[in-house]
Amino acid sequence: MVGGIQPDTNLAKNAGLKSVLVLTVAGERIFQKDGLQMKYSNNENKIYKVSKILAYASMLLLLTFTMLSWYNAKDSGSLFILITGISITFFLSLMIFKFSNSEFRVEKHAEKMIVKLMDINKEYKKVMEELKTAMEIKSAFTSMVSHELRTPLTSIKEGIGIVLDGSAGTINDEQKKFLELAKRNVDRLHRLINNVLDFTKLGAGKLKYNLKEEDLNKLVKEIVKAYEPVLTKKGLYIKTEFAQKMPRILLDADKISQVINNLLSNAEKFTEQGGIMVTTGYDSVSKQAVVKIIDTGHGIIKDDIDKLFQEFTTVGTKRMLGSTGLGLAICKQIIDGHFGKIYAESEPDKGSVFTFIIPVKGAKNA
Amino acid sequence: MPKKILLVDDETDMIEIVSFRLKKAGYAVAVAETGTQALEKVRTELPDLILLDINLPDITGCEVCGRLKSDAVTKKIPVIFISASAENIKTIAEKCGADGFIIKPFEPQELYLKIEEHLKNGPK
Repeated sequence: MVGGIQPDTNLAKNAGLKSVLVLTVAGERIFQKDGLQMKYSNNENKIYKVSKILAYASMLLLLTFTMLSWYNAKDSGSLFILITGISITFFLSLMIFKFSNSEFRVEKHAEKMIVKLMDINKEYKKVMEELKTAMEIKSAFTSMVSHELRTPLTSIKEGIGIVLDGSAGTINDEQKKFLELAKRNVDRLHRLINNVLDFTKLGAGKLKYNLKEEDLNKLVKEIVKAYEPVLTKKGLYIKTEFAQKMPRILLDADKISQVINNLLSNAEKFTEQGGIMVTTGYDSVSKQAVVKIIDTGHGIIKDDIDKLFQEFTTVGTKRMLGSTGLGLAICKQIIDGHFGKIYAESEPDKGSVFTFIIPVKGAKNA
Repeated sequence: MPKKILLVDDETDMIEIVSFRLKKAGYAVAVAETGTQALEKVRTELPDLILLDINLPDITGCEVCGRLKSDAVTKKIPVIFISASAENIKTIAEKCGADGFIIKPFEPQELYLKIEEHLKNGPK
């Protein structure tokens, strides 16, 4: 019966705050309230109307027939038939009346429901507006705070740097140790601010994707190469396995690099023994590129896997130093922006596999 | 003759630190804390390169750059923007006619490299 909600701003002026019910010739009902318009038609009632007419016609026929037979015969038998006919007619009329009445009530009820729906819709719109404003304020605030933090951070970082590298005179080992500690933490703060900024931009959808057809194998190779010294120093191996056939993939190289870097950095952080394996693959059927980062690290328990890609969550028993809880959330945003998928598989104490899949073509703004 | 760099920043701490670094690296350094001061100093000091903060209290770095680039005397001096905001910095630098940009906080090596690159190549 209900045709659907059709908001119409023009009608708002006419409708004002009161609800208006307009009945059109075609049996359609147009319902207006608070600038919203709702139409519903009584198509189903046509069948009902026909049957109502048919019922009245047959009642009339029955009455005429019984009356005629009584008029002709005027005996007790035909009188009985007449009385029966009148009773049946009366009974049927009563039924029809009751039925119409209940149908009328159903319509009234439906109208009430529509009004309620419209109110809910209006409330929903208001809440959405408020939410949008709140999100914008949040985004502007985080962005402002991050910028304001960067300036003093630069002075601190450089101030420490100047003393630490001996530019301002020689320092002893003890002094060097504590300055290194300070520098490490300033760098950590710097990373955190960058992550927060990145995340705010991603969340606000402000991040533009600079898509080009890139050689994914080459991209992975370069990043892995940059990681080699860190891993060798820690006594870990790093292996690679590249897809033989890899078409050029439409992607934002900087952002995909950020994802690979983040996954590698995580793998390194949580692996004490063994090492990391990075593989690339190409599925020619689904036309998707697959990158896997496989480590032999601590692993993740099942409950935590689901939480991995949520913002501000760090999983595991101890909180990792220097972790912002945003890294994987940013990765997910970026991969989502490429219309891809990112997921993790893991078994505690055996290691983890992080996989991301991106389609060859069809990323955002493509 | 060491190359002369004009450093423009309203943060005195930044001036202190960056000019220390630049002097250590063998450059001569002139400083300015506002846009107006920067425009005056360019004429009196005639630097080989300008490190220009975008957010200045009086006139913006963008406008300072625009004026420098439209002046025949100063337009050949390379201008590198310094900004704490990484957002759209590339576009802003291009729009304002700057030759390059560097984002705070930066590593000293990154700064030297950028300066050397622009001293060698000159303005765009």
